[in-house]
Amino acid sequence: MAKTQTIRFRDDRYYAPSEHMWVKLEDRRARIGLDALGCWAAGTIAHIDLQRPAKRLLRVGAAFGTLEANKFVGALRAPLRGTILAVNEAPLQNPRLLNTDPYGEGWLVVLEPTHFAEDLVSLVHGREAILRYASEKVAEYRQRGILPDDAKQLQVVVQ
Amino acid sequence: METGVAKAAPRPASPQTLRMSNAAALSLRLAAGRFYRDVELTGINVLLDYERGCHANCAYCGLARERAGAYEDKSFIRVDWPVHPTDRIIEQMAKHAERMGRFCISQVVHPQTHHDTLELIRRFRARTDTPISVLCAPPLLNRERLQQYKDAGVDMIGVGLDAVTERTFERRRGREVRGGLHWKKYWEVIFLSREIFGPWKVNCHVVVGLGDSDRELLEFSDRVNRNEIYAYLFCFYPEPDSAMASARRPSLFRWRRIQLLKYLLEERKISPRDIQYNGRGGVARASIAREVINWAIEGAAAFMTNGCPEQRTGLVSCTRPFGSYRPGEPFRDYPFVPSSADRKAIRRQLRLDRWCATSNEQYHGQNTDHSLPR
Repeated sequence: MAKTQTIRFRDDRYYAPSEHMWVKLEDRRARIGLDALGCWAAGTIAHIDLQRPAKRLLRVGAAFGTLEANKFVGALRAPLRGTILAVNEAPLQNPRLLNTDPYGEGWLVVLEPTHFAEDLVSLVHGREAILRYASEKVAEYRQRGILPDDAKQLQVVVQ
Repeated sequence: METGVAKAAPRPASPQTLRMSNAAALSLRLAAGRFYRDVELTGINVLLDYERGCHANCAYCGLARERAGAYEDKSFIRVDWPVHPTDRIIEQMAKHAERMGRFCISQVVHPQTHHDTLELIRRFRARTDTPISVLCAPPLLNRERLQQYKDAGVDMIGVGLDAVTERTFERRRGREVRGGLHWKKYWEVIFLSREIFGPWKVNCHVVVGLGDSDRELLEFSDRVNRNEIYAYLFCFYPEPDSAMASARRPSLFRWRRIQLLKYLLEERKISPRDIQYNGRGGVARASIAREVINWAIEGAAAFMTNGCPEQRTGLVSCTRPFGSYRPGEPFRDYPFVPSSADRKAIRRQLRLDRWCATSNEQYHGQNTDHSLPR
């Protein structure tokens, strides 16, 4: 019997669906990472590159790093406008942290947002909206053959 | 003698289990993940799986006997080959048969290999009619066994010769690494396979970067082609912890140039006499009509993966995406038809002005001497 795969989302985060990024508000800063579905769909993550903190303003959708999995490489894109204040060294040393702990040890950067309230509007937040986003993405990935056949046993959990 | 201590049950092995590359597992929908640039892989490679692994000790191979670690944890061509139940693999091959182009059984040097290969072919053939290749382990084979593969439904045989000279073979796979493999036995199996399976049904895997010169590689390719045997190029990529872990990869320039010249020789667009070598066997200069160069770059087949074909389309099925380079690096062999931007990159990487005397002379067809070497 196929085992059930669980994909977890945190309900205290905001999500940028097209980039699979999560945003966690911390005072006037935003901690950013890749959500569990994005990590899973990429495959086993083998290498991460991140831009160092700089004054340069990131636009929404601008690349601030790259993710390389066994058979895939893609840009990590900013979900908010802002500048990078800090970079997490842990996933640079151990990229598999993104697969094993995407919301904790596997965070990527801390941003200082410049248009926070404005940018937040386009992000997904709240249990129902997150479930809708996840189910649409799962359906898309299933159609594109990115998920294994036993992903029919997939369970999305928001907690 | 009874010790009173229960022995651990042996772990399952082939034919109950097989190892499968990450790429094949993605394509068969056995694992989550995606291919950069939406590569389609229709050639599924499996590797026989035994607790004690391969008995050979090739200097560049992740499965080498003396490489540290348990066999099931060893990577092969730099990626993990997780173990899957054979029934599950066959079930997925049958389920996705319309997308699949070929099933390839890679043997390892182990006493059970021949028996298990036959068992797998029979089980696989009972469920699908996808063509089957065997990438064989010559030390275990003879005429009778090769004939059994053919009779059971295998249509292509691959021989992982890897080195094209006896010197490099002994250095990387034979006596010098206590490998136990014999150059003459490999050739015996190549020619037996050619006899049994027929023209263009046998291929020799050749790894650029093990120590053979450009001249040796290109002359080898030309020689086996004349015998209606394919030479499939692979680009050496050092396997961590292997004896060649710190050896350098061939430069992209050298690799591209060998791809191009091999292809032009195969297609009879140039003659071996059109290539001049330096004292170390490196390509020094080649004379090629500009029209031929443009034809090769724009057609781009020269730069795509060499591998066994699908039956329906004749296109390469075993495209081994990102097998000898990381997805974040420039492609070595393209697992798809290169785009216009890719072809521009290929042209730059070839640095034609350094070594190629292109002429504007019009190309009038074959200019090759077809006589076999004496």
